[in-house]
Amino acid sequence: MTDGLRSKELETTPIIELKDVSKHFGGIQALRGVSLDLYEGEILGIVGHNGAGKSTLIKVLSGAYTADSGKIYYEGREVEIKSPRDSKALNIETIYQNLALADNLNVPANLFLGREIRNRAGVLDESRMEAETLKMLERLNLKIKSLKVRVVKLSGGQRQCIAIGRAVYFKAKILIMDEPTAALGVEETERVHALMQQLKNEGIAIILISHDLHDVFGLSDRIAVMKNGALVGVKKTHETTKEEILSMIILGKPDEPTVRV
Amino acid sequence: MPVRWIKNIDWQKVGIPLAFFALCIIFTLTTDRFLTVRNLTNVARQISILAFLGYGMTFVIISGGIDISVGSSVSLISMVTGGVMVSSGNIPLGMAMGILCGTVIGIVNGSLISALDLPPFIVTMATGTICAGLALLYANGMPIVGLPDKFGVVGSGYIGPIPVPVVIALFFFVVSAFVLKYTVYGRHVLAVGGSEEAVRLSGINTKLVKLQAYALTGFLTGVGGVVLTSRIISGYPNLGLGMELQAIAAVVIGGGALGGGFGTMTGTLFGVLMIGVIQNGLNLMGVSSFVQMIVIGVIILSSVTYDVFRKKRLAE
Repeated sequence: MTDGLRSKELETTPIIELKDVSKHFGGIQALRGVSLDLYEGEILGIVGHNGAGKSTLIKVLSGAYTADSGKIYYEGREVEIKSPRDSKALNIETIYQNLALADNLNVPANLFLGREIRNRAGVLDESRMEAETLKMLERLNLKIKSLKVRVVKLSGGQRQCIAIGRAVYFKAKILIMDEPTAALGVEETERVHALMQQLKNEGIAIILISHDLHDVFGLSDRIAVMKNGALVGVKKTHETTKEEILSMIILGKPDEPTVRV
Repeated sequence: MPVRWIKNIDWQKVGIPLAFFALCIIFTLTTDRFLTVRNLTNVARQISILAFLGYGMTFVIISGGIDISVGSSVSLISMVTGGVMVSSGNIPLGMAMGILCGTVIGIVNGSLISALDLPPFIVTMATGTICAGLALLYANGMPIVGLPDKFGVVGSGYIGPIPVPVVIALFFFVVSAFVLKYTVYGRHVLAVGGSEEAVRLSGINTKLVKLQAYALTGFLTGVGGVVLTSRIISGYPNLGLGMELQAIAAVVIGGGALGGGFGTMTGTLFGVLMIGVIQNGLNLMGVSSFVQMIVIGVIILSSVTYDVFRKKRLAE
């Protein structure tokens, strides 16, 4: 339940609002009536066991799955997300764990994958795509030796930042990140976190799925806990503790009564 | 200094063309007929057909699929071309129907593979068998004769000093290479072959990309089948026997990876040239065609092995 748990003034409209969204696969109910909202410039962490429904939830937002029931609102108006294209049209960019990039292509090709720039003759405008890539790398403070190298050769952190860069370049207002730093070392994790803070300060709303409560507490403004496909509760990060969140994850119910505003 | 320079050469790009030219030099030195205009023209004419199949196969293999129906398609295309041409007396109509037949086969392959998500190897093996059966059924296993002689110009004629099939093959080479390297579609084919799921999540219609690759192959196979039919001026029910394997060999020799995501049209062209030159050179040297088969097999094995090693080094 999200009543009253808002990080901004009561008047602000959430940029995304899910009302009673459900999804099942065969006999398995992956999402049960989930209602959640997300505001501009906030980082919302989603935590829970494996199988709690976190990945399903973001796939419904990213268009990889279509919800069976429930409503989705974007900036206050009702929308339908039936494909990855629908999701991107709503400025939602999703960065999947391990599936973000085309390994056999180089950095500019990945940045513009599916949204390639053509020149007036209708063919690929490689030089413009390279120029735009350089601009994007500069904005992200990312150093890559050669644009021609296939991304499979880059480090995990670089690849993650390129995937984020792609989202940002195409003017994402909502960034969904599924375990972005799970496979990264300490320094690279720091790099990605710094980038996330930078984007949040620019007003981008970020949904972060992570198993690492330390990361979630360090980055998120609010934390949503899921269990067995249902939303257990949402807490403002500074109003809760790791123990409380853990008990919500394990027991499936909020530790304290929710504060009604 | 010289050693470092050698290490920096991109052997993937330079290796095959180098090997090809080395072979040409060897054959020039060991036979007196290799480097003659007549011989080279013949070789070029013969491998033009393989080139058409190779271009299509390049798209399909890069997209992560495979098409082993192309040989049998050629047989059916030949029968359709011959049959229509004889019954209507109309050369362009016969040619058009042949190319259409090839394209339809390609679309069928592509639809089954992408829409129904069936494995390409099995699907094209099945459609190939069906095509081979249909080709034999067409005239009860007999060839179709009586095609107008003028049709022979396509397969045996010249434009200036260059045989017509070579001109057509070069034209389609330029078009295919351009599409693969410079168009959005070509980029998508490469992407789908490399990481299909990641590409799907980018919003690209991966099913359509794959379907188009098979349709393209069907069209090019149609052109090749019509040209080959013109060379013998008859519809022959076994015409394309074994050609799919040569086409795949050409792509692999040229650096295309069977897993998808890698390959170039230029590489395939050199693969085609290699196969043609080796068979021709060994013929001129009097080497039995059985030994030739072994030689081609060894070359394919070496290319694939080299390719795998290169991939491993890339991943490190």
